[in-house]
Amino acid sequence: MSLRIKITPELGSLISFLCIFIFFGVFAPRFLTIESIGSMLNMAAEFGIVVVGVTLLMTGGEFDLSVGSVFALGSFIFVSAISNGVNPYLAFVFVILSGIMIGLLNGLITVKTGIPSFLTTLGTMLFWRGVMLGLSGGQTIPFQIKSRLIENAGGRFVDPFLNSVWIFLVTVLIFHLIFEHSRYGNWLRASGGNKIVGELMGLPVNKTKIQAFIVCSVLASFAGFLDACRLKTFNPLLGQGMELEAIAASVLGGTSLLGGYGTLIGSLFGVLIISALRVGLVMMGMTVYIYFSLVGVILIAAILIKHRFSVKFIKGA
Amino acid sequence: MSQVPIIELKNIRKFYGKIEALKGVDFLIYPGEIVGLVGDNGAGKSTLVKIMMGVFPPDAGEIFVEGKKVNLRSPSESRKFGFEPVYQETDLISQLNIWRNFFLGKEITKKFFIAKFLDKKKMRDITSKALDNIGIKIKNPDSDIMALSGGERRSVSIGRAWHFGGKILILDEPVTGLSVKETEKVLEYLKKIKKTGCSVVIITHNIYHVYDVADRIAILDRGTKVAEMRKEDCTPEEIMDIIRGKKKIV
Repeated sequence: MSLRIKITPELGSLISFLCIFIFFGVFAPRFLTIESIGSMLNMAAEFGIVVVGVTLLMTGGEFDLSVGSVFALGSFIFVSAISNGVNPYLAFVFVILSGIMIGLLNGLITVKTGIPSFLTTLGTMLFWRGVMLGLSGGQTIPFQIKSRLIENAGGRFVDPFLNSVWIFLVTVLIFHLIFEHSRYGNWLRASGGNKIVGELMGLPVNKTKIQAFIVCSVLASFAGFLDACRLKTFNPLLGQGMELEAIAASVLGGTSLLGGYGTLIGSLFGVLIISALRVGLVMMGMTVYIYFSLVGVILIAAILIKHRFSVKFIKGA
Repeated sequence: MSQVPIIELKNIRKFYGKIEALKGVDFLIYPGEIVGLVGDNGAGKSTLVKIMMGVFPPDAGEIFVEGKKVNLRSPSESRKFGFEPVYQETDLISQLNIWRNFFLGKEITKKFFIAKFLDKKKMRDITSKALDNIGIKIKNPDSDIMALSGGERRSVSIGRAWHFGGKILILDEPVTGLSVKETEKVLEYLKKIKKTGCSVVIITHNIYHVYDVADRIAILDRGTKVAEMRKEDCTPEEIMDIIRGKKKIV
């Protein structure tokens, strides 16, 4: 072979994204307008920030099913705090602190007891959803408080892009640097790839994992805060089903379900695939319901293709 | 030899419950020699080596490192003296490439404003050079571990242990499961490592795996050192007979 390009999973996700993008470009009228690309990115932003954390944690060999509940809880804490007269900046600090606490709890339970994180976070997902429903009485809470923080976090400097789009892209960039160019990234991949070997080489595997749990929860609650600022309301059903969609986006981006491998660039395209589908299907005049089925089909197809490629790669080597 | 041994274990005893795994064993290693620690399963080889590695303390006996009496209380303490284990099952992480594995836990970073970034170029170069020094040729330090053969993987582990200041490399069954060709290669690397002044302990139940490279061979049987000889003084067949208990020791 004269041309040797290593088919990495993230390259695969870029190709899938381009295919979907071109498909809608051809078949969906007005898909290739700045407005529609704007709404695609706007839709991607908050969800994408959650996916960054999920990718980080999955690379470290753990799952977080509680991100949807934590996302909603972030919104709830912010909205209920400012509705009760708390300064928005202080309310924002509460949101971040709650993220740290929840992540720490998820991490400690998982690492100290050895319960698989899939179950730990299934438990905390239900727990926090219940707490939030109980405290809010299942009611939506709209608010009309004006604050520069809220305007900036939920507004847009450059039409039609929400500011959260830039925040999302910066988040991806920062965590890309951490993944690829820091010691922590190496340790996280090692911890997810093979915990026993990692410990043998003297890595603080448990600490590394707990830190990833914390980052994941903080990003989810932060995204919830952005959502509250954008919609100026809290909705108790917020973030339901988000956890699995986030895992799907991450896996579409090439993250390994078994841990040890993941990239932020891949996840970025995974997120874009999902929001391109949402926007594109609507623009083709199709019902939104088909979106879920399509994501399912694409997910399975992507895994099959990846599996084929990786088998070939190992055999050819 | 008039040299001071790097490590000397004297009259080491170890019990597992009521079972005496080591019944007063003496063992020492000089700089730059390859020692085969041979014996059947349950002979006490692993127990002896684990004491050297600081995994657990002996119940009786003394340990001297370069002539000074020490207690090896933990694996990290043992590592500080330069005793580096190379585990028999792969101690590499298959999701990471060669240089990331090589430097795992000992990454080189450079400062950029407030952040510390990995110095990838330096680590790639050092990985290639270090492996090259003991005769291990790898095409590309960015290669996936998955793409390496069993022998290549083991050679990366050995090269890593040697590079990071190993004075004694402790190898548990280093060539088990390797093809004849790959076995020869791995043993070739060990000879090169020896030339750098580093010592190697090879634990094995198969004398033919070490006879070629060992300078000295110690044989354990049910917790006792039943024989110790320089390679010139014995044939592999004689050693096999001793292990099987057919031959009494002189």
